[in-house]
Amino acid sequence: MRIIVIGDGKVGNAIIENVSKEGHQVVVVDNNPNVVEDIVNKFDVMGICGNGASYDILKEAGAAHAHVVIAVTASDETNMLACIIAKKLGAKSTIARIRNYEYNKQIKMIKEDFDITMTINPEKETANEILKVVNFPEAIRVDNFAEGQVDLIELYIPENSPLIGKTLIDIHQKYQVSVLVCAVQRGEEVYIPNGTFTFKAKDKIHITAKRANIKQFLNKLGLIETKMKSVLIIGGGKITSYLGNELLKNKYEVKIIEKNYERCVELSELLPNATIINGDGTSHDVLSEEGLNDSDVVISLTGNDEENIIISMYAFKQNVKKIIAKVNKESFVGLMESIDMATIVSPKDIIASKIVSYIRAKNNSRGSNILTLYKLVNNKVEALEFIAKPKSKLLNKQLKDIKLKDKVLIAGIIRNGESIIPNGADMIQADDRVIVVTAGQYLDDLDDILV
Amino acid sequence: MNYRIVTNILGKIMTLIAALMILPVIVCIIYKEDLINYIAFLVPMVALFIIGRILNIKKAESNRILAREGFVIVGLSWIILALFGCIPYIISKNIPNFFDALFEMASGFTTTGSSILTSFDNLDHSIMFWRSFAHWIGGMGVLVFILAIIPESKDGSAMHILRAESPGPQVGKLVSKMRATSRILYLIYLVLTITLILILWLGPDKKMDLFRSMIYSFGTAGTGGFGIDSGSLETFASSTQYIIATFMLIFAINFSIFYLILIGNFKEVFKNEELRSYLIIVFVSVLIITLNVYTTFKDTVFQYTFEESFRHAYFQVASIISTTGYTTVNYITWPSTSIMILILLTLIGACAGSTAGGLKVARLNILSKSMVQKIRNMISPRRVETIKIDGKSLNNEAVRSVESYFTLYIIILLVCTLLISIDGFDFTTNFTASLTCLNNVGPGYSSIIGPYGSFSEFSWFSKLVLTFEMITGRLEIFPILILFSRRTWKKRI
Repeated sequence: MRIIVIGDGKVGNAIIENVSKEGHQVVVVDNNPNVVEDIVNKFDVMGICGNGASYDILKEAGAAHAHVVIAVTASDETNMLACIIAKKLGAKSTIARIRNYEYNKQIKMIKEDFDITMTINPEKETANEILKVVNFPEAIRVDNFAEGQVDLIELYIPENSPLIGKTLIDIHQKYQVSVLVCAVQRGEEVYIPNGTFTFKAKDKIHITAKRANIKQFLNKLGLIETKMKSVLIIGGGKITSYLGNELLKNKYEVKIIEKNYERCVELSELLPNATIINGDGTSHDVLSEEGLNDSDVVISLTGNDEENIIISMYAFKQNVKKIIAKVNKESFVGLMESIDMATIVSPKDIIASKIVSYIRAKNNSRGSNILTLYKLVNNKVEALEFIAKPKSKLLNKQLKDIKLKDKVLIAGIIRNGESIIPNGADMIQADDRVIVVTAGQYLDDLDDILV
Repeated sequence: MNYRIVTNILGKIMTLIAALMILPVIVCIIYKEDLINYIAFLVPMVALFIIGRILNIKKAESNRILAREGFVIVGLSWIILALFGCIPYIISKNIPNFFDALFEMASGFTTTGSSILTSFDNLDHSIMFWRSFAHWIGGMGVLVFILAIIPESKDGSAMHILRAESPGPQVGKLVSKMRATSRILYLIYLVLTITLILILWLGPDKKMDLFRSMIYSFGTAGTGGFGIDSGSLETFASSTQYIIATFMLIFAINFSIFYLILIGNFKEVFKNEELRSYLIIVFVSVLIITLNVYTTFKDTVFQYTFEESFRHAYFQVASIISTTGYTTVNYITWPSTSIMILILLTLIGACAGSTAGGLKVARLNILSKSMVQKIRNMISPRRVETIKIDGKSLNNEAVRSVESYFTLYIIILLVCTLLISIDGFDFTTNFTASLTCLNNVGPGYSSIIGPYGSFSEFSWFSKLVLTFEMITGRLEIFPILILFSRRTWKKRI
């Protein structure tokens, strides 16, 4: 497909990396010549230097024949304008990043009246992601399929866990809970496990199951945490304003530490029920004075990866139960591994997987749609949700008779609102939603999982 | 330096050259040549194939090609090309001397067209074919060919290779995929070449049989200039001369222009400053030389008709500015104004992104604009002005790199002139030999190396210097110079 990406910042870069590696024809527009030069050297894409909202530049980039135009410059207004012009030129669909808090209240009107196919808001998505983990503190990461009917949960196996040394079959026999382990991260390696896979301490496992079953499973393992109450957020950017709002709605106590006084005033207007502190969140004095030790959750969302990591490490030392940090640079993610239960969020990756799922669904000529796509374990694993079309070759066969590709696993089936965690005797029927987990295979259709 | 990826790609190139040598072998079969000619091609083929395979046994861990690797790959592969390509000449005894053969092969691949041969009577057909086919491959570039056939790499590293091999100050892709870009380039190239072969073969000139049509089409398409008749195109019909002159001009135009025409984007074509300057230079040069030659020789024994003066002026200008080097007349007898114009055209060369050599009109445009800017700056020192090309402003970095390219270019030209002056020829011979080789044109401007002469009289040392100049000129200096830097070969930093 022909894709134009306007704006090559952090999010733009992640999108370009993902879509160009999937083999699409990508044209990148940015007004900084050095950035354009870099991206052309790094990926097999064409670069154009100029203002992405200008008619001539968009024409030169081939907007008239583009399938998707993605505008992710720093300015919401430029993004909207670029999408409007691209659409007028003949682009099939347009995606704009709009992250301003005020604009998001009128997002429906923007989409309809300006004819923008999709708007993305990395900060809001990230806030949602964080909220899910705060609500479910036992997990490192929580993703939902089928409007929350099935969860995909990442868990950490501590040193004293009863799971250690057990195989998957043992666990099924012992606990009798319908959960499915679909991926295991051990150090740098990723495994798609089979029945004889044995767990070790410090593994990070991804399981799919119904919410109730997961709670039951955690209960049997003795991992259940008491509900979190107080949340300390360091850094008062856009994510914080979305997150604070949601947390307050969910009846959490929220305290926000922000360096910039003007921003503190803005936040206090936006979030009247939160405690806003004007201070330096990297200072230990400020942190202990504001009760870091007594907080249940510490979320570091400053604009600086290094600061977020240092704050997290300090919080870990102070035995904070749940630590969440925003880290954008992939190379830094490894530094956080030493904090066992830390959750790392990266707005650029969240958005990149959203765009990838949109483009893959569009790219599929056979018409079976990808509903959702999540990238797990540093983008090494993908979890996808498909709808099984009546023509699919998989229908009405027992799963144990289906020959799957290497490193592919069917992790869940949702039929008429009922979720099934599949075993070998289950069958896929038409209109089922099917969750597939894969490490390294490119899938844009359910039938792609067949050998 | 990522040595593995360099050897991997060099291995691929060697395998490719081995495969390309099948074509002259087919010519051997058609013309029922001696056994020695088969051996002449089979020996380097087998050697290239085996070495190529060996270099590809161990795959590189990382596919990352940085600017440095790109330059080294391109520089080394052209040296390998010349070294292995000349083996058939030596074994078949057509050109028994190693330095002669190397010179001839480098001249072929770099599309220079300077020859050490004084007569073509003893050349075998397969050797003639290989000599001219080298023009065709070298014109668009071997690595561009490789990029068109190897599987797509996911990252942009191949960009460094394209940039190092393709001529011009600013190299860009036509479409977003590298492989598609190289395929489009080669497709345009192939279609134009086949068109020319057909026109020549089916045209009115009876002397142009199929084999000659192919030889002269390869020479024209690659803007090389190897022929197989003494006196180049002098003895051919005027229709042939017009056709070849026109096609030389066409092949010297930036290939992205053809792509723009293909996709129907004529607005961009008209906006292209380089094309405009190029056509103006051609027009003015033809006009002046026609009048100069016509009036000078009027009422003498050498008198030309007006049509003849125009035809010879048109052909010579097209041949020199496109850096091809075919001739229809021994122009060294021409008046000095005309010769001087031809020497200037030698220096300028044609458009960037074509198969031609030389300094390139694009660089000339940037240089003259920056010069005008400097002069204006002298008058009002606080004046701020940006240099624009095709309506887009050029950053200082690009201007500076063109200026330093020009400086290096002049230095190499002069140093090589000095080196070959050891042979004791006159200044015009030394200077124009150096000039014509660095710009990949072909003939020089004295009786020794002019249209009727050859480079055979130079010593082996001078031939080596000129060989170096040809490859340096074709790759636009840096890929070759970088090979001499100790830093290039360091593992890290």
